[in-house]
Formats: sequence, C-alpha cells, structure tokens
Amino acid sequence: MDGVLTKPVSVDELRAVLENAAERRRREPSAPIQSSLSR
Amino acid sequence: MDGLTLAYEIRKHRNAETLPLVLLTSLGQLTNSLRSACSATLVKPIKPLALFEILLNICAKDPSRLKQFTAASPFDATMGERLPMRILLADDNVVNQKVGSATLTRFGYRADIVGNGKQVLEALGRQSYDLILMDVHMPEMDGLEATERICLEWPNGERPGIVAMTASALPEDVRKCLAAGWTACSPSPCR
Repeated sequence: MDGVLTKPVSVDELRAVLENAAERRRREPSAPIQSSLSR
Repeated sequence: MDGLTLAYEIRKHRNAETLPLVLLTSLGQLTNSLRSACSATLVKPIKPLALFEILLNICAKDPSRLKQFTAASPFDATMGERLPMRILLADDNVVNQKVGSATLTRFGYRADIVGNGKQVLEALGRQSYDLILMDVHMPEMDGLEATERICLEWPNGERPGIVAMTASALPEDVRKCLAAGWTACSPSPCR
C-alpha cells in the first residue's frame, strides 16, 4: 500500500516508489507468502 | 522572443564550442544563417533515435559533455543490484508495458508483466513479489478489485507493496484507490 501514481509516471516519482518499496522490504525481510487464490 | 531570435542572441555571447544549440523546428526549409547559429536541427515530431544521435555527435566533439549528461541522468542502473526486488507490472496497454519495463530496466530491475487484475492474482499464486505497479483501469479485473482481493488474501505486512497507476488525478478516482486499500496518494499531473 504505497501510493497512487498519475500517468505518465515521472522518473523521479518512480524512483521514489522504488526506494520506498526497497526500504519496506528491508524493514520486512520475510518474503510475502504465496497466494492461496490459485490453489 | 521566438527560438530563432533567441538562438541569434545567444550566439552573440557564446559560440557553438562552449554552448551547442539544437534547434527544434517544424519548418521544412532552414536558412543557412539559421543552420550556422545551431549545432544541429531536429524536425518535429522528434524521433528518439535522431535526438540520441545528435547528442552523441555533440558529446563526440567534446567528451567531457558526455560526463555531464551522465551525471544529470535521473536513472540509477545500480538500484536493482543495491536494492533487489521482485516487481510485477500490471497494465493492459502494450505501449505502457514496454515503456514501464524499459524504465524499470534503466533502474536495474526486470519486471514481470501481466495485463489485468486476474493475471496479477495468478502471478502472485506462482511466486512472491515485493512491489506491484498496478494500473487502475484494466479489463476482466481492474486494479481496484485485484487490490481488494490481495488485501483479503494477505494480512498487512505480508502482502506485497502495491502502487496504483492511473491516468486520472480526479479526487473520485483517488478516493476509490484509497478505499481499495491504497493508503497514500501523490498525484502529479505535470511531467
């Protein structure tokens, strides 16, 4: 749940999104579980 | 002051060696004096390859400029290595898919690509992702419904990050995104 980007997406905004997501991944290192929707 | 007049004025102070000028024009015929004022001309609509070649030519005359261009690049190709993530790009528009994928590549990421919300759920069933870039309006299952189902499926903290992408910055659309589970918004209409 990291935000909403308006298209066309600017490079700076995409970069910020990537950095935020990477930071989130660093704080929560456990990989997301696989969905049961396909099971 | 139009671009032509500006070019002549600039040339009074700086020559082509110290400040190359590239003229963007829709004119078919260019006068010799105009050509002499500019290092190169590009006829609109500008083709990326033509612009790239002109920039290369300018840099070839003065390699130090290449460093300037590189330093000014907003991209960081090392991000993918420094901050590895599994990214899923969901967009039904093929052009948007290609542009998005190419942009992510320039940040060092290779994203998986799907075309609708249903395929997002299928992809999540096959493997885990750290980030989903989700178009809001897609056929079969839109990004809002896909997000709602992901939120139902995974508890907070275990689901991948989801960032909505929408061509609309209307408050109503943003409200729908927030209602579907997105918790922040940063619409920026100007690029």
